[in-house]
Amino acid sequence: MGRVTLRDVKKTYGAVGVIHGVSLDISEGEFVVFVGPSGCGKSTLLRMIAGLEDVTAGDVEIGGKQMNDVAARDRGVAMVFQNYALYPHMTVRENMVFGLENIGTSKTEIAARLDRAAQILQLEPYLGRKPRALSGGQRQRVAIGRAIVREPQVFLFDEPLSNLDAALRVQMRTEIAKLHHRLGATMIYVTHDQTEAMTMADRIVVLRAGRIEQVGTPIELYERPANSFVAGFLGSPKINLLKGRLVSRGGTEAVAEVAGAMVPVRVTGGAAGDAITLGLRPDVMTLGADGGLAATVDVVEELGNVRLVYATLADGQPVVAELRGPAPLKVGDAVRLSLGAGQRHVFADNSQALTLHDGGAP
Amino acid sequence: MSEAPASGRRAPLAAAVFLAPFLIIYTVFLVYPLFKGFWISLHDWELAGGYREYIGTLNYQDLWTDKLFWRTIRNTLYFVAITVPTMTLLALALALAVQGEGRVKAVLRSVFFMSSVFSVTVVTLVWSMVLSADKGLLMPLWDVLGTKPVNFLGDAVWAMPSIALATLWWGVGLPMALFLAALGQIPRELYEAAELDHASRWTVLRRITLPSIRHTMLLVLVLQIVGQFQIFGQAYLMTQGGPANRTRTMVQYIYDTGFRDWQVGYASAMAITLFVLMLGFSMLQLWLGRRGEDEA
Repeated sequence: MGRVTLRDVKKTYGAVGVIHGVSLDISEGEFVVFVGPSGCGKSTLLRMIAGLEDVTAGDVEIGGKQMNDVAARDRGVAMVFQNYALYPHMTVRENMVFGLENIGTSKTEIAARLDRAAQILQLEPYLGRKPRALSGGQRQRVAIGRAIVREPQVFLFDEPLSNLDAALRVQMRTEIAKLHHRLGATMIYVTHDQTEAMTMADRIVVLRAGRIEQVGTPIELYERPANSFVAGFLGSPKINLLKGRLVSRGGTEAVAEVAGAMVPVRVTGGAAGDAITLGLRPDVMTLGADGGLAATVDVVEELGNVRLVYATLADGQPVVAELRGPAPLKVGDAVRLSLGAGQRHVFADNSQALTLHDGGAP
Repeated sequence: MSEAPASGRRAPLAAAVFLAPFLIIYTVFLVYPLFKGFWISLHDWELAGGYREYIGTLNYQDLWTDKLFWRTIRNTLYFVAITVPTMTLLALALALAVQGEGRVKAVLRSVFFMSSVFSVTVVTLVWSMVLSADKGLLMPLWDVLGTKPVNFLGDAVWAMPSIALATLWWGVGLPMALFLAALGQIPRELYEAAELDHASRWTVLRRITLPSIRHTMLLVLVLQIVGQFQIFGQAYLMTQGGPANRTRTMVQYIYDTGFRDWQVGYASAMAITLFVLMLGFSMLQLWLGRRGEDEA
C-alpha cells in the first residue's frame, strides 16, 4: 500500500540539474523526514513523489506501482503545503470535503470521515468558517484535515510548520507525530529544521545539492554521521568542526593535533600527516585544570540548566562548549576544555568520516 | 488650553497640500462641468451667440416626448446589452486561454491586446471593409453559398450587431489584460491542491478560479457599462446612425443636437439623463456584486 520507492531519480530544468540520482526505499507506515539546507532539492523530490513535478529520469513507485506517468490525482497521495493552500472562498467544511465530493464519495461516508477528522484535529467549532477567519495554527490543522479525510496511501508534508511561530511549531510538531501513530500511514515530511527532523522522524534523509548525504534513524545520524556535513547539520548547538591533522597512527589508535593540543582518537583510516577535521559535540567538553584545548572565552550564554561558552582556540578557531554545573566564567578568561567520554568524530580532508565506532565500521 | 504638538497640527496641512493638485483638477474638470452642464440643461442655450434663457425643466419635458431620444436610448441599451456580457465573457475566455507560460501564449497575449491601440477610425475602416456588401472580405463566402451578399451595415437587423462585433474586436484587450493580472494573482498551490483533490477543469474554474477573480469581474463589468453607454465613434463612422436611426446612439444624438443644431441646453439635458442611466446601472452592478460577496 503505502510503500514508496525511488530508483535513481533525477530532475533537471533545462541544463540545470536539481536532483542527481536519488534512490530510497520507504516502508509502509514509516515517518521519513527529508532535511537539508535551502535549495538542496528536498521539496522538489517531494513534489516529484506527489506528481506535481515531472521525473526526468529514474523511477518513482508508490505501493509497488510505477508512478512516473500517473497524474498526481491518481497516485493516492495527499499533500500539506507550506502556505496551506486552503481554498479561500470555501468554508473549513467545504475545504475538507472538496476532494471527496470530486470523486463522488457518498454523503454518509463524507459526513463520517469529516466528523472523524474534525474530532482528531479539534476543528468542530470552526467548520463553518472561512480560512481567513482562522489563526495560522488552525489553518494548518484544516490543511492536515483535508489530507486526512482523503485516507491516502501516503501523506506528504512540505515544510508545513515554517509559517507558524515558535511555540505553535513545537505544539503542531507533537500533534503531527501523534497523528502518525494514530493513523499509521506513510508520511514523508520536508523541513530545513533539524529539530523537527530529529524529533519526528523514524528515519531522516539528509540531502545536499540534490544528493542524499546519509539516511538513518535520528540517533544513528547524530552518533555516526557519515561526513562532516551531516555532523554539522544535525544537533543543537552545532557540532564543533575543528581543523587539524593526524600526527601518528597505529592500527585504530591515532593522535590528532588541533590548535596545539594532542587529542587521542580512534580511526578506520588515514595516515600521519593527513589533514583532518575533528568533530566534537559541545556537550563532550568540560572545564579542566590542565590538558585539553586552551581557549579564551568570548561569550557566555546562561540557559539555567546549562551554559553555552563560546570561546576561541589558540589558533583562532571558534569553539562552543555546553557546560553543566556552576562555572563562574567571564569574557576574556583563559580556560582549558577537557574532552570527556563522548564520541570524537574524525573526518578526512574529503569530509568523509574516519571515526571508528564501538560496533566496528564507521 | 493645551497646545497640540507641532507635528499634530502640521499633519492635516501636509495632507491637504498633497491632496490639493488632485482636488483642484477634480473640481475644475469634473465637479464644476457636471453642475455647469446641469445648469445649462435648465436653459434654452445656443452654442454660439448670447441667446440664453432660463426655461426650468422644459428641456426634460421635451425629452420625455422626443420619439428620437427614446429611440436612441433603446439603441444604446441594446448595444450595451450585446456588448457588456459578450465582452466580459470573451475577455475572460481569452485570458484563460492565453495565461501561463509558453511562447505561443505570450505572442497571442500581445496579438489580442494589439487591437486596443488602434484609433476608432482605423477600427471602423477595417470593419467597414470586412463587412462591405460589394467588395468585403466575406465575398468569397457568398460566392460559395451562391446567395446575395448581406449588407450588414445597411441592414436594419444586422447593423447594430455589426457595430458590436467591431467594438468587441477593438476593446477586448484591456478587460483581457485585467483578467490576466487577476489570474496571475491566484496562488499556484491552490491549483496543485485541487489537482490532488481530483477536481475537474470545470470544477476548478467554478470553485477556485471564478471566486478568486470576482473583484476583477465586477471592475470589468462596471468599466464596460460606463464605456459602452458612451458608444459614439463606431456607430457614427460605420453607419452614421442609419439605417433609419437603427444605430443612432445617445451620444451621437447629443453631439448632433449640441454641435450641429447648436441646441446646447437640450443636449445637456440628454447628457445628464445619460449620466444618471450610467450611474444607475453601475451602482446596480456594484450592489449585486457586494450582495453576492456577503452570501459567499
